[in-house]
Amino acid sequence: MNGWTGKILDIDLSDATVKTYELDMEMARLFLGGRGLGARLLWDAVGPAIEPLSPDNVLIFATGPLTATGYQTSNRFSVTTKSPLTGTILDANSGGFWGMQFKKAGYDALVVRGRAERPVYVEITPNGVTIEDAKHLWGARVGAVTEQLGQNDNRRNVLCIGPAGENLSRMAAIMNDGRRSLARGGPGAVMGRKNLKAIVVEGKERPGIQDHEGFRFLLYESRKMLRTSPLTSQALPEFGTAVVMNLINHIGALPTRNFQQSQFEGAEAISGEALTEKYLVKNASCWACPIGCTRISRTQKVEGEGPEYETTWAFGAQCGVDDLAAIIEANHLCNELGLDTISTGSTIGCAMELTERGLLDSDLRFGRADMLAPAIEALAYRRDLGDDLADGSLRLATKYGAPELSMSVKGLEMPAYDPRGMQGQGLLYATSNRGACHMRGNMLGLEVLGLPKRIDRFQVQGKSSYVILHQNIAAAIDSLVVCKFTHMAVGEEYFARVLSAVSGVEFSTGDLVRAGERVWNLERMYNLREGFTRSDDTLPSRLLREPLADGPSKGWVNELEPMLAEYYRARGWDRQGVPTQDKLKELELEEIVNSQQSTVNSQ
Amino acid sequence: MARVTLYGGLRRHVSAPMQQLDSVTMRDAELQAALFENDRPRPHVRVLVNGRNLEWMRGLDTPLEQDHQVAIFPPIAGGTP
Amino acid sequence: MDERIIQQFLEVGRDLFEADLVSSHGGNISVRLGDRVVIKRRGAMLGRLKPHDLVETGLAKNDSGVALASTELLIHRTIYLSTPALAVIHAHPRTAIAYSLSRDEIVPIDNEASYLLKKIPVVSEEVPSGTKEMAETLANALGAYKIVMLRGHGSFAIGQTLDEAFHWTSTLEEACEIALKAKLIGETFIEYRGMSEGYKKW
Ligand code: SF4
Repeated sequence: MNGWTGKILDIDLSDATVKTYELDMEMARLFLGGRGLGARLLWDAVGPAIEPLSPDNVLIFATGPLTATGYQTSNRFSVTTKSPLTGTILDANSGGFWGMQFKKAGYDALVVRGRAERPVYVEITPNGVTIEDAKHLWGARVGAVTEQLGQNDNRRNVLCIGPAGENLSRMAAIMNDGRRSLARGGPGAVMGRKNLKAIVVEGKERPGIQDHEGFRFLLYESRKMLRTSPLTSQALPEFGTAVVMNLINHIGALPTRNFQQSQFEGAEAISGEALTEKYLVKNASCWACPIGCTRISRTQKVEGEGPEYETTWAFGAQCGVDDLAAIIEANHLCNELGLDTISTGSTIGCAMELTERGLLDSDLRFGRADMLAPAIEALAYRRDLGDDLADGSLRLATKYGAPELSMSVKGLEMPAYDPRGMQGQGLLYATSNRGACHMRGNMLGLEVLGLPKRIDRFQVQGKSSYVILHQNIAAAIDSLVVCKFTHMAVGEEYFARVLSAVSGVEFSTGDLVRAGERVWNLERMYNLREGFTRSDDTLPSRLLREPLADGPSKGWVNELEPMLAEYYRARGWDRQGVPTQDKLKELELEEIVNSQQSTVNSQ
Repeated sequence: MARVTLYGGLRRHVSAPMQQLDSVTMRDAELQAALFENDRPRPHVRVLVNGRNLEWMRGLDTPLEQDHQVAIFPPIAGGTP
Repeated sequence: MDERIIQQFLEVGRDLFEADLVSSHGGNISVRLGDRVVIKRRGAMLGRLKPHDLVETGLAKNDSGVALASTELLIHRTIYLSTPALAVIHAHPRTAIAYSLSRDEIVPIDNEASYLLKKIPVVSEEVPSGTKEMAETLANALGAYKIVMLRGHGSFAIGQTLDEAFHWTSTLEEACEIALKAKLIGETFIEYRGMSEGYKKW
């Protein structure tokens, strides 16, 4: 079978052993790669007895069958682990160049186990795999490490953690190519615990393609679609993702000051239009991407990639800050320290509300743009209040007596869409397997942008169908792996055909979406095995009980209960949200789940 | 007079992003040709009146009132990949 | 039932009729809502749907409304259970039906349908309409194509919404009309599309 290299690299840092073994091709057919393969491998490798920050937790870096084939945006890869922030299964994915390079080095996945005694980095080149001393790199920031290790976009790529990962911040990201991130849920802390500072890769060969002619046709058609769609040909390159700021604000779904309001008076000042007008230097793109949504921006102090919409929101509206330069600098600092910008900004916003309510004694107050940088520094090094911030908003708010002020689901901070103004988005957050997340089937397209057609954002009945379909599609895309932005112009039917052409195995559109459903259900089973229950599929009480006081979403809370009940039924789960045996059987998960249950119990 | 604000690339076509609109419904608005096609907003163009999409109101016949805020967006997309 | 859902049925039903894609009593449309399906009542006219013409029933199991539901319920259900569809439109596009009588697939030559549909398979009704086998044959084809023709009978299109399935249906009929007119003109076809061999293999 083409598409997959057929090899998994397995490194145990505790005794510095390096192994290579074959990828089980049946596993590949069922779970594809990336997020799906990661979930399947983690199911076996990390059971409930293993704490996320124990050296026994593993990091699984995985590419997919499309990675590095040259199909549009086939640059992506993912990391899977048990999250130190949420305790759920976690996968985070990233673009750039590293994933493509790793695949070209000849592997589908890299499993990292154990803990090195001293800081190390791993180097993977055509000459072999070595584990090197990283004493001189420990403590260094992301830009410096990336440069020192010889980053060269098309030849040699560096993935690393910053000080936040070394200091075990639960929102530490893993950064690749110096600017992209595997951000959410704290994978950087798992890497820090392993004393692993960086992984450098140099590849050689592109993976094989079975049906070249078919593949070329799909490339041709996909290019046409990406060029024709005003979203991928104009909107994203011209204004980047932050251009939705004004729109989300207008509809009354822009969470403001820790979700106390849904419209921000400073939205225009921090919008994509303002970013483009005042700070944009140029666009950039990941490997093999004709879209180029990435912004390089510059203030008087810094120049770097971003900020994206969610980041601008997290340090902007969420913290009541309308100073775009300060936001760009906060984003830059997070990239240098290796931090997830959404959780970092949202946790600072939570601390601001705690302070204003007199529950916390700090200088963090809404609107204090000058406090962003010091708070981020403190968080990354766990200094003073930063030690609390680094544990995320849920632990922070719980410690100071008001857990309901953490705007998170399962402990993962919610992104930039208020579920009271977008009902389906609320269901998405509540059911997402890694905690509140917008990349698991974003309802922005259907509820706001009208992609492919508009569904009223206040409609409740039938919403579960859309959420489920998009969750399944997102899981499939994350397993292939391509960038979700292509999906704004190119339908999943193309991805299924690309997969068929590359691998030589027939996958219909239905098969591909079903693979996504399989991945979703396995992740669900993983979380259930960890002890999560129906009661964790919820939203902060503010969103369920405090109707919005103003704006176009005035009077609304999120009507989660009826949507969730419909969701469980439509997924083929029981009332407690447990996949039925019939469902597991239909998805060919029965054996995996049942046999592993006993292995884990016997451990 | 309702107040209209244009966003994104649409700003290139006007002198100021914000304008007073001297019309009773969107049907009378001068912007029509640029923004509409067969009585519907052009694909991916969004027109909001006080935060609600025209599609869920009375389309182009939605009555505009004094204090109405009309927001018009060109094709845009978002979400962090 | 949510009024916005009713609204979609009324609009799309009328549009299908006005676009000549169904006869007075022909065709059928449905949507999936979670574990429920809403479908047009037996005998109701698509061009003149009223709210009470819509029947809601279980996706897998029957309940109260089912006796009234269209005889095509089985097909729609089978499609929902085995494809990602959230809406199904069955129409009787005339030119497409005429084409389906003499071929196993329809490969459009116009730009729009080449772009959106590439190719439309024609499946044959060897067994009587409304049987389980028929339903499965259709559902199977719809796993890989968003619109398929049932020979001599009509089209089945799937989408996330009724609007989307309507889009595929009208695109197909337009493609067939253009192909027919091109044939009437009878001059040599000048290939204007790049890599056009790819459409046939779609
Ligand atoms: S659309 Fe943006 S994030 Fe996606 S691959 Fe292209 S440049 Fe990277």
